[in-house]
Amino acid sequence: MKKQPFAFHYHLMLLPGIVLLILFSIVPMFGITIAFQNFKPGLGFWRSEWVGFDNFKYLFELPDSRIILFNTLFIAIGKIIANMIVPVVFALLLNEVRTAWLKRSVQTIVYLPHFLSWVILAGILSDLLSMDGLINQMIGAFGAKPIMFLGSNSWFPSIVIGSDVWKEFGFGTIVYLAALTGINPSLYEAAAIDGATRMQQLRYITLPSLKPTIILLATLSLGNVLNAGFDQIFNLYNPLVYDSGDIIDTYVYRAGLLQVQYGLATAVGLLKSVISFVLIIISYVLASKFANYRIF
Amino acid sequence: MKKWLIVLLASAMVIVNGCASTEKNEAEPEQEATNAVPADPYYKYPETVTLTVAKPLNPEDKSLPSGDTVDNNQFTRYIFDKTNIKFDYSLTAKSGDPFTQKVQVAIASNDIPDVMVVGEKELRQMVEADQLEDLTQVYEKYASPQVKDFYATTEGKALKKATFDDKLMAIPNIVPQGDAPYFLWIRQDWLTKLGLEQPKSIDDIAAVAKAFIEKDPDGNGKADTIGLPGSPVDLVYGDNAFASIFSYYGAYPKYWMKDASGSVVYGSIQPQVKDALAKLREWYAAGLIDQEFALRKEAYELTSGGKSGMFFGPWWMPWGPLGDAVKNDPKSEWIALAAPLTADGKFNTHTVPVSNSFVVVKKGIKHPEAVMIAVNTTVAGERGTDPDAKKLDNRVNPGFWPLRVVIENADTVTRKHDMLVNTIAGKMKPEEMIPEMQEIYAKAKENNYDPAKDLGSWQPYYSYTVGSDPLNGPLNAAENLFTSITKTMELKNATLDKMEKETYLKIIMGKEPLEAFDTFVEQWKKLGGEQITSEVKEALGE
Repeated sequence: MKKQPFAFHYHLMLLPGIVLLILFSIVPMFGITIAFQNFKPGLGFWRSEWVGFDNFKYLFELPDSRIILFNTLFIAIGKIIANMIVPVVFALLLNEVRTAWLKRSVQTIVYLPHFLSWVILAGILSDLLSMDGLINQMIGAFGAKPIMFLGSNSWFPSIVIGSDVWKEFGFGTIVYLAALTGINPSLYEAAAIDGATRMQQLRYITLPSLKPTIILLATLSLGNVLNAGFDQIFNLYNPLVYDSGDIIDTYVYRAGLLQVQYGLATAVGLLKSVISFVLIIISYVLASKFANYRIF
Repeated sequence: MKKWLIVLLASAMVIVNGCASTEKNEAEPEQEATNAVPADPYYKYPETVTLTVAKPLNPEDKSLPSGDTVDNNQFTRYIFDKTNIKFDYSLTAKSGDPFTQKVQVAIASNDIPDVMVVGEKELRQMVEADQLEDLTQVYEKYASPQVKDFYATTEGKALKKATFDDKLMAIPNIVPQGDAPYFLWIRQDWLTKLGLEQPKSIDDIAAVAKAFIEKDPDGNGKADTIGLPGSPVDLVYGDNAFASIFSYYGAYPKYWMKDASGSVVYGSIQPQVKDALAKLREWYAAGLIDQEFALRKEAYELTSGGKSGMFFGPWWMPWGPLGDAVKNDPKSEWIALAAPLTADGKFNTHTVPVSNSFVVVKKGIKHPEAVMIAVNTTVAGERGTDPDAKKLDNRVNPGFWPLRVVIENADTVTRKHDMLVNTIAGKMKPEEMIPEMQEIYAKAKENNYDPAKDLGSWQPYYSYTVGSDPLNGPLNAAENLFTSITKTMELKNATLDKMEKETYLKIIMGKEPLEAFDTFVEQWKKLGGEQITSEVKEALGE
């Protein structure tokens, strides 16, 4: 590697990105002070009363905090695992399809839901899952009693995870399909000559080639372990399923925005950011160890 | 390559400048400005005064004639012609939650428009944060005699709600007391068809609901009708809510009331609530209440879709869901009843706070009196006391007034009801009515009182006749003794409200036993309720 001469124009190209980063990520950091204040908007950062760690204390004293944390972790981890497995399997299956137009149209169809908003999808889901909706009519055909899916704590988390996977897996599939096309075809040819079956080819060539991609995406998604998806749950939940569906974000929305406790809401946000930050560092270390993934 | 640089640099500059220019310069408050404006409540400024205002919008509303817009319509032109005041809608959002949230964000970032209409919670918040102009002088000098008279009918209660440390910090609305009771709206055509009496007692209601479910009142041969719909948002005071069932048992959730011993207590934890919950639970289990009421996205879908023939709602329902219901099924004939009646023939109900929305003015604007002048002009226009208001088309939703709070007699609904009913019966001449009612009467008569002919003229007529009729009956109204917020409430309400909502809902839907109520009461006391109660007692000077 010869050392490049200093290229001014390349650095200039960085400028818009850096400006945006400073404006929208660094400057708002000053808002973190709200987490340690009893924030009164009109008084602003400078004149609001400082309360130290009171907001955090309050958060841990809340009777609901254990349930909320559990729900958040349960739903988020469920989503991470399902969103890892389903796209890989689907990409492998789609990869076996030899009809080009079919492959392409299936791919397009499955990643379309990614672009729909949860507001619309929640409406469709509520209709499908209602007592006289399509699902219950099918169940009714077998003579079973209708189930109130969205009012039942045993069903709610799986509906949340399931619908999220249905919405996002097509989009995740694209990454794996790209990785699959990057595998050297001569490997398969050599394996076929050696008499490997399709299953053996999958096991000894495809999966090992995909391994770095899978590990990378899995470790990077660890940073989302406290994000269970506000949009989705907010549009689907109701007081009946607070026990199983109320997550940190929805609770903060109700406590912070509706009951005007900005300090508390910011404290929670900060706590989430700190935890996510630590997790991202850990996952980055893991990623560099297992998948040779490095930024620097 | 050079071109690239220029483009990049230019774009970076635009981004930086674009963000920088949103930093507003704080206008210098001018102390002298108000003195320059003569004390005339309907003063017309020699030069245009522009006020920025927050405005909730209803995208569903189709009442504007074509060519008119939210910020340029008959109402904005009327205000502008009379006073030379222009409103600039600097903060808009869909009415309801989205708007409230946007206002909250504006308050939080201390970037508020000159004028807003806010609720009590926001008002207190802004007063505490020192964001508001003191309107004491402005009210004294500029409020019109008409507006002052209206406030007099509340015995000073309304203004007191907006007064902090003897300073008037906002212009309060006056909530018509008739808005509070939830009457039983019921389809007379279904009752007639099934040969049923109008329900009076609580058991009558259950019997009618049962008949509406089982006897196919809509005659389509399918078992697709339901009894009572419920409220997905707030099962006591929301749309379709059961407030009247609760008050029948003397239960007033969320109210601060006196118990038998005369001390102030919280309504949600009183033993009467348990009776009401037991009854609703029984009804739900028997299938009389919509099985999915907690999950509905739209409370009124069953009513407007012709699937339900009864629900609880205030007198103005023809303006709301009934408009859709009669449009979808012209045969439907809805009446409002004071039911369930107690054993001694009274209708227990609740009252609403005398004021619940407030016009607030940002501290330090140049013409705070312009807000009062605009309010005076709006009131005169809306009540029709200004002769020029004749040319206003009353089919247009009054929500399009640029700055609107309802200021009128606290007993306005019954007054208007009596006028209109007497005129239709021929006991009164139309011209003896107030201009607003003359208009409503003339338009309704012109269209034969027929919703199919012109829904817009039928809605006010029907609300003021049939809808507000039960308001004249023997009402037994309970008052909420305390409507503001204490320190502990600020901290604990999120938890306590969640618990209350969950417990009530689960008991009614049979997901928890009735005894869960007792557990809730204890939990409520333990998790801050006791402290809140003592704070409220202190605030009430007990």
